[in-house]
Amino acid sequence: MSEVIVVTSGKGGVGKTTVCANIGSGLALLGNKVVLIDTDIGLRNLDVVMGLENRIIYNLVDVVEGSCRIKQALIKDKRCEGLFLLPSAQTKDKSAVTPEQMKKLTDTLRDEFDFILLDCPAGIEQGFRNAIAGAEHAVVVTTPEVSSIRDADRVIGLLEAAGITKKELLINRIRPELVRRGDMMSLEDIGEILEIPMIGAFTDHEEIVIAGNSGEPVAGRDDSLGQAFMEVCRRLMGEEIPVTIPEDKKHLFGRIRSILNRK
Amino acid sequence: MKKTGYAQTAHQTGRIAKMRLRQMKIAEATDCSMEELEQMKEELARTISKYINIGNHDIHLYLKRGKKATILVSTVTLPSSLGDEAPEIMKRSS
Repeated sequence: MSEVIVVTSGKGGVGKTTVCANIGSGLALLGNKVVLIDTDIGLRNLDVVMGLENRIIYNLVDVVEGSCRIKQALIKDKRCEGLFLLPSAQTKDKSAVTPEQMKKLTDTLRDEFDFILLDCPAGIEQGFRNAIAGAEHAVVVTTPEVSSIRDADRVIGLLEAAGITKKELLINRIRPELVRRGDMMSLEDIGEILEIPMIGAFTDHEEIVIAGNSGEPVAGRDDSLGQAFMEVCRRLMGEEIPVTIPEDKKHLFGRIRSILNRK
Repeated sequence: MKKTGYAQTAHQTGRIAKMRLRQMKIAEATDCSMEELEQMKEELARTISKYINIGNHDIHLYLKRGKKATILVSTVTLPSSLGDEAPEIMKRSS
C-alpha cells in the first residue's frame, strides 16, 4: 500500500530538505519504490541535495500543466534502485500549482510507488497548502530552538485542522553538551511541548554538510549517522525501534579531549 | 570545587525556553495575552483561596491536546501535599 508523507516544519533552515533526501534514499535502500517531490516552487533545493541538478528537463509545474507526462519529469537516481525525484520549477511561483492539482498528482503516483515524499517549503502559505494536500502522514522537523519549536507547534495545529492525523517529530541539530548542562531543551522537553510521537533525533553533524557539498545522501552509510537515518526509515515502515541520538564522532572525541585536558 | 564543564549555568536557559514555549502555546491557543493569563491565574487563586489556603504560585495552567479539542487545564497544588514545605496554617488545621 502506498503512503504519501509530507516533510514539513514551518520555520526555514531546520534541515527539511536534507531529511527528505535521506529518508527517501533510506526507504529505497530498504527495497521500496520511492518518489521525492520538491514542492518548493521558485526555490528548489532537493535536486541539489540529491546531486541530481544537472539532469532536470521537466518539473512539477510542467507535469500539473500537462506540458509533459509524469514519467518524462521523473529523474531516476542511478545510485539507488527504486529512487526517483520530481524536481520543482525554479522560475515560477507557488501559485503555479493548486492543492487540488497536487492531490491529483499524488493520487496518480500511488499506483506506481510505495512511498511518495513531499519536501514542503518553509512557511504556512500556498506552498504549504499545496504540499500537504495529498498527504496522510507528516514528519515535522524542528531544531531545539524556541522559534523553531513554536513554528512546529503551529504547523502541527494546521496539519490537525487539515485532517492529517499521523504526525511524527524529527528533532535536528541537537547539541548534547548543551542539553547536559541545561542550556538546551532535551528530547523529552520538546516531546512534551509538541505532543506528537518522535521518529528520529540528530545532532548537529558535520558529515551532513560534507555530504551535502557533493550531493550525496548519507542514509545507508556504515556510520552512526547513516544508520540513524535507516532507523528512521524502518520506523516509518512500522518497526518499533527506540529513538537514540547518533553522536558525531568528531564532537565525541573533542569532548573526551576537553575532559582529559581539564585534569 | 572541581569544575566539570557540565556545571549548571546560573539560569539553566533550557528550562526558561520550555517555560516560555508553554506560555506561548497557551497564549496562542486561548487568544489571551500573557498579562491576561496572569490575571486569570490570580482570579482563580483568589476564588479557590476562599476555601483552600493557596497562593498565586500554586495555580498552574497547561494545554492538553485531545483528538477532538484542545483543553485548557488548571491545576492547584495543595499545600498539604508539600509535606514539611506546607504553610504553617495548613499544618495547624489538619
